[in-house]
This record gives sequence, structure tokens and C-alpha cells, in this order.
Amino acid sequence: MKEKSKLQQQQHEEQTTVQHAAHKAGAREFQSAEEMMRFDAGQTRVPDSVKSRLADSLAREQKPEQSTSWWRRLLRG
Amino acid sequence: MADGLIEMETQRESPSRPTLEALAPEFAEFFQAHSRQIFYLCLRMLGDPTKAEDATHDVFLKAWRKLDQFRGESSWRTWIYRIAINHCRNLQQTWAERNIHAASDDAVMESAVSDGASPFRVLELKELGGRIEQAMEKLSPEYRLLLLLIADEEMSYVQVAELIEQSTDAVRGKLHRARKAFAIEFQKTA
Repeated sequence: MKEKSKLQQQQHEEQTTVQHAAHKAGAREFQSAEEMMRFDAGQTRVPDSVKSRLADSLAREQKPEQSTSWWRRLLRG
Repeated sequence: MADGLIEMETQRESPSRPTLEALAPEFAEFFQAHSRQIFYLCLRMLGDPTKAEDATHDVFLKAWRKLDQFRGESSWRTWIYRIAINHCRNLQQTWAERNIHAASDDAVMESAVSDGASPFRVLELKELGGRIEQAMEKLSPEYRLLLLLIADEEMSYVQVAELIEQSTDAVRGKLHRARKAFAIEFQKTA
């Protein structure tokens, strides 16, 4: 009886350890909504297609007129 | 939306397709520095990855077209956020989504148990985005925007106040209510 109990206890401990590890891998506590969103934003990846589409669009656009930039106008007084 | 439609035909891959770095190296750096936050803002404001993708493209294209209008009076981050916020608001108006949930915020608050300050325990991180999405959908666009901007570590209260055209005191007050409303809605997603 004692043998069985010890075995059961060992199995229970092993199972708990596995569950705890799995839990730890997928679980997290956040102190605020902002912290959670910051984490979520960090996990979010911008689709590559956005950049390639933007490149296509820019290729068709006329480059902004450099001489009209705010700092150039300031320098010209 | 019209800007998004303009680019629909550009999806074909071509070996001679120019890269953003080759076309405009500095603008490519600008895109690299801010695109994640802008995409995330669009994603959570619009609640749809495809719409967010189109919106992010359109926002940066607008920025490119307006580069000469940047006066250096605000940070680049604030500047691109302003373009993104206006773009998302226009889309929301177009879809008649604006203010659809606004009236529900107070009702939610009346039955509130959470004070918005309790920690959020998330057991499955892979579900986090979906749960945030669900909770955000129940908030007014104003609360959604406020939480998203405050979540950006690069943004100060003063910058956020400037972007949403409110005083910093008003931002703090609304943020308190927004956190509380979010906490209640987030708990419901468990």
C-alpha cells in the first residue's frame, strides 16, 4: 500500500511539473492594460506585403520636392 | 479606402521590383522605425488584419506625399500617428462604425467590479491578440485610441493629449475610465 502511494505521489509530482512547465510557457501576468498591449504589439508583425506595396506605390509617385522642405524654407528666411 | 484600392493591382511579383530601401533609403528607415506601431494601431482600431494592412500602406503613402509639410514641431512618431488616426477615423466614418459602442461605455462602468488596476492573468498567450481584440471592440473609439497611444512607450501624456486634442488632465481622467472599461471587457473574454 505504501509502495503504491509513493508511486502515485511520484507520478502526481511529475505530472504537476509538466503541467507547470506548459503553463509557464503560455501564461503571463500583466500589471496593466498598457503593458499587455505593449507585449501584444511587440508580438505583432507587419506583413511584408505592406512594405513591397509601398515600394510599388512610391515608384509611381513623383518624389516630394526637396526645395519645399520646412528646414530649407527656414534657411532661406 | 480609395488609396488602398489604387494599390490592388500591384501584388504581382517581379524580379525587377524596386525595394523601398533602393527607392528612398531614409523613408525606408522611417518605415522601419514606426510601421509596427502604426500597423498595431490600425489593427486594433479597425479590428481587421486586411483593413489594417491596407490602412498602414495608405498612411505611409500619405506621409510620403506630405513629407514637405512636416515642420519639425512634433516628433516624427506624433506626426505619423496623426495621419494614421485621421485615416482610421475616416474609415470608421465611412463604415458607419464610429460611436457605435460609445453609449455602452457608461453602462459598462455602472456595473463595474474591477477598478482596472488588477493584474491581467493570461494563461494562453497565443490567444492574447484575439482577447484584446474582443475587449477593444466593446470600447468606444476614443477609449481604444487612448489605450493604444498610452501603451506606446515613446509617447508622453503631453503628446497623447496633443494627438487627441484634449488637456493632459482630461487624458488622465479618461484613461482611468478606459482602463476600467477595458479590464471589465477583458475579463469577459476569459
